[in-house]
Amino acid sequence: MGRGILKAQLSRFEEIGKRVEESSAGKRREGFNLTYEVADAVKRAFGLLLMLAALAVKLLKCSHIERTADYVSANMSVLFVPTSVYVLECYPRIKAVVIPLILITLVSMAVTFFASYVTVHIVRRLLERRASAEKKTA
Amino acid sequence: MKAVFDYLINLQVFGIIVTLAAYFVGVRIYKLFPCPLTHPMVIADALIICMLQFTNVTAEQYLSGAGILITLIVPATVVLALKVYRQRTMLREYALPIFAGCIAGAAASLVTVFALCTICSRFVAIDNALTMSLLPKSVTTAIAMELAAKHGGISGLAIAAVLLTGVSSAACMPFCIKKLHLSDRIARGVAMGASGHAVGTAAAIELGETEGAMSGIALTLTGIITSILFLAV
Repeated sequence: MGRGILKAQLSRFEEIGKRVEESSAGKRREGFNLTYEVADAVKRAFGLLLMLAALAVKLLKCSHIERTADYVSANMSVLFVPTSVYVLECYPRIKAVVIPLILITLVSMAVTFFASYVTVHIVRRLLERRASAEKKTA
Repeated sequence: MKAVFDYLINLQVFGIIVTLAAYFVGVRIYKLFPCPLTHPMVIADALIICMLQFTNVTAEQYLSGAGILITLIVPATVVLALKVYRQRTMLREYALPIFAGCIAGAAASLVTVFALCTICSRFVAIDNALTMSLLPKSVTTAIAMELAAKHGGISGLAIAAVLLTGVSSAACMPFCIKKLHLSDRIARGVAMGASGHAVGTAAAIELGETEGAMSGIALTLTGIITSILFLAV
């Protein structure tokens, strides 16, 4: 069953890729629609938003789900283990450039981490400073 | 004996059992020698890659069962809602910094990958397909696969990049946080989620409840923001 789902999913992605590649030959992606693209991005977080809404309107209580939710989140990383086989699958294609690709990924990951950390930290400090200045003037 | 082994590896449950066993070994090793390189995911990945290389089990046979675990990634992220809900007061209070951090993280990821790929393409054969496969590396697998495929990238490589990003973030960043004395818990969580997606979130949960919740929010927001920023690529 898993293989079927996975194969179907992969072939769907490949099909989308081919279609976009074909249509972008004319230098413009067919069916480009900002609303659709945003909705497409939001739909992936829909489950999380739905659960949040159910908790917010008290349709669900924390006690209903916390035992399962805590167990799943504590062991979530096990779900990512099977994806490692894809590294083997695409290895022949990237064999010649594997070191630069790894370096790019690692450098970018570190830059992303520090960019996020510094931004959150600076914005928090600025907000705190503004709040304390407002308090003083009041 | 060979017939029994062949029968076992063709069972769908084989992939799941192997994955759980490898992860269990990883957890035991991590408990004995806690360091970034012994993270349960790293150990489990290494064990499975070794198994596929040195036995006659094919990736297809392994994935026939273990593939079910991959399809559970997206539904499993729903449980992060509870962590977000528990931190709702904090979320309301720090909405602006969290949002700013996610935008900065998504933009930094896209810009650095694009810039580095452009520079490297002068020296090695990095083409557009490889660049497009690396660009969505900081979002969850499902989103990355779709974004890469939509823009002419290779789904397999996108998954590999996502995995490498997640594992390296989960393995190295808690260590960096400790060594560099990064004490801002909100920023720690957002940075883990923005840089290491769901794998980073799993590591952030180990850092603390606040970090886990912030990482869960960042993971979702970064996925959405990256998809939107990808339109500019």
